Amino acid sequence: MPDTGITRRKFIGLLGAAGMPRSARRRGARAGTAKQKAAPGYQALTAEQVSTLTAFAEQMIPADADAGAREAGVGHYIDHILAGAQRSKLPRYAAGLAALDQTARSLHGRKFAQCTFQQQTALCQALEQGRAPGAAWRKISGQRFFTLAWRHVLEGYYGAPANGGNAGYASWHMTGFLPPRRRRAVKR
Amino acid sequence: MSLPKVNAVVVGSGAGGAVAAKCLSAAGLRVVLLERGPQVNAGQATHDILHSQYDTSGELGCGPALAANPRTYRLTPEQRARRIYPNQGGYGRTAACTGGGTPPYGCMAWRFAEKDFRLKSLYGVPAGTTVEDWPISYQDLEPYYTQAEYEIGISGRAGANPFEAPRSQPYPLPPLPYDRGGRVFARGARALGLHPFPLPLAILSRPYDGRPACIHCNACERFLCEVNAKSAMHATLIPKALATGLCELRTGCMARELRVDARGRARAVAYHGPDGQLQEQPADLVIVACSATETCRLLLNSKSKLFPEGLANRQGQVGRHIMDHTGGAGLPGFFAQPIYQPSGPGFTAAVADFVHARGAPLNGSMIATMAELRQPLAFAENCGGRFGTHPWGLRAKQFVRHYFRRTVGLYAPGIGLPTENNRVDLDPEVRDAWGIPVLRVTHRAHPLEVRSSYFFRNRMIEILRAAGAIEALLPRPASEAEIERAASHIRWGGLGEHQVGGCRMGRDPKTSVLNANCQAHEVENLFVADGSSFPSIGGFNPSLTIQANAYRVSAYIAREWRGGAFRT
Repeated sequence: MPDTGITRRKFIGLLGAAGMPRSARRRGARAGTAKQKAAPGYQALTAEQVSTLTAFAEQMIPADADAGAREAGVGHYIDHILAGAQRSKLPRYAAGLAALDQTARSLHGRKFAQCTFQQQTALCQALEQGRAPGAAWRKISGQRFFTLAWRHVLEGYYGAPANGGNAGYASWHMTGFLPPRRRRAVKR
Repeated sequence: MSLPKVNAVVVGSGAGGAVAAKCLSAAGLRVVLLERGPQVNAGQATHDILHSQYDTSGELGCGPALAANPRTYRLTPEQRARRIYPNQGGYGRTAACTGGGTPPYGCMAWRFAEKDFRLKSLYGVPAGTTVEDWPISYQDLEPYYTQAEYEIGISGRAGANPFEAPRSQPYPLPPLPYDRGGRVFARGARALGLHPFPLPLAILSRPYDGRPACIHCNACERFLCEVNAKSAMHATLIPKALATGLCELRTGCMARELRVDARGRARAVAYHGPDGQLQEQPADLVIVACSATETCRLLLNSKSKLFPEGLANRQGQVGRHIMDHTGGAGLPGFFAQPIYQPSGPGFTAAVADFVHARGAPLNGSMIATMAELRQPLAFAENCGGRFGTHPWGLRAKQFVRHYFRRTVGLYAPGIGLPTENNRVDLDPEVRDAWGIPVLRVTHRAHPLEVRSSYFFRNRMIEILRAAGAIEALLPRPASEAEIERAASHIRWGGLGEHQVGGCRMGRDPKTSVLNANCQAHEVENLFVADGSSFPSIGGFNPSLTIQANAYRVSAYIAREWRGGAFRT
């Protein structure tokens, strides 16, 4: 907004003093930082949350010849938005990831990230269809958490690298969204 | 605080408001143009979908800000409305920035068909609807369509669409060429005996009016144009309005209410400035152009002793007859050969054979290629999943990898109808960040809109099949029984970016808010210059018709203006 010198984001912040945006922000900030320490290299998520989240993300987009979600840095993208613009969603992540681990423990005796790939897949399917077992999902809808995290994984993997994910433009080269990399030197 | 009086305040700087501000300031009126969003310009353009106008989980590139602008939505009047935000379906958003929805829009620049202005005369009033004729004809609007095409800068080829209404002038610029997707679509359409043609676009195919031609970058629809080849209002008419020296643009200004004098004439616009302070801008005339939804909201929030239910709303008509292209349908076709090319705009071809013809419900609509699936994120979200589940896992990844480059997306706006129950009014509880009551949207698709959606889905399947799409990946055309079932249990609705109606123009003050000149029946110095005046929506994207109508309304105001108070 060149004529007043206030950026759009600041403008929203100013308005927030009157209404909802600020309260939402405060709630998010407290849940994220008060008790637990963020993992090294992360701003909002703890080491435990990162390991569960990246295992979930790898289920959404597994590695093959092209990078999977973990290698493409999707965890960093989600951490980045949960520490910034979408910090109000951090409590939902904290609850959802904890519930995912709790369900994995009750079914397989291990945390989600330590389950086999097939066990994780089955759990994700149950989550997507709203039939994941466990009392933990009474606090947060498994289906809603799946949709939220699935969408964020896709954003991190297929969005621009400047947002923290899609490391090395992995998905853009994979799809051909970018012009193909030049293989040979220009002919003379 | 009250500011010095001006001749006219235009509220909203989008397709309608920018035209009004430019025409009135050029005619010598002193104008203040209010815009709730910030100034945007080409330097802010990005190719990053996560900061564009696509529905991602974050903020929209051109606004409105999510948390500050809630609304509520319900399917039917019996339901309790739930809170929704601008990146959610059904909200009915338009971008909040200089130029309104036009900076990120897809730039399709259609004229309506002649018959679109006479729906009731041609088809009667289908049960449950409030279909009406326009008080004006296509011929009344034609000169203004031409003026809009020339002043704004539209590319297209006159006569390329054999079903186009008669025009007095050719387009000022030749059409943009077909891309590969356009050629594939045209081949399929021709094989079926249809008549494909290059889309009319508000994108410059050649340098025009001091702006450069399209550079065919890959970020067009839902992105700001980085070179101003898109003929959006912030790059075209707003600078022209400011160049008259008589128009002042105020951004970050949220209109709260219109205030009236003792005789019930509009006296001033009360708005929150960028610092949140309430200001009062007095004027001889007020022109409202905030988009169909927000125009209704502003009038409904303008309560006074003389207008206890909102300004110009003694008959309870404000907010009624609102509609959108709910019968819209989009469909991807997947091909064996690569089609994608990393150059924009990504939508180049259309057919209009099903407009008022060939068994389509009511007015029918055009079918065009679309750019939506040319972004990896949008493709991954929408394609590759089994019905009812999210696309994820290795198979989804493999599908995206293989078919991203082998896809043509088609889109038809379908029909949209005003109905007895669909409307916007004020939510009794929810307020926005300024403390202003927000809109409650009550909207459910009409059975004919559902039929339209299936009709066009079936036509798109035929075109894609004729173009050589992989048969196994095309959906099966819906049978009459399936369509019947879907039309009898409708659970969807909601407004989108093509929203029109809500302050209908008409001859009868009991059933319309505005007269044929878009002047409020009840308030002589109040005009509406956006799509809320439309009695029907047509089967085309509405922006050029909004602009043409704003030219017509502005010409009327300029002609009748006598200085000082406005007389009829």
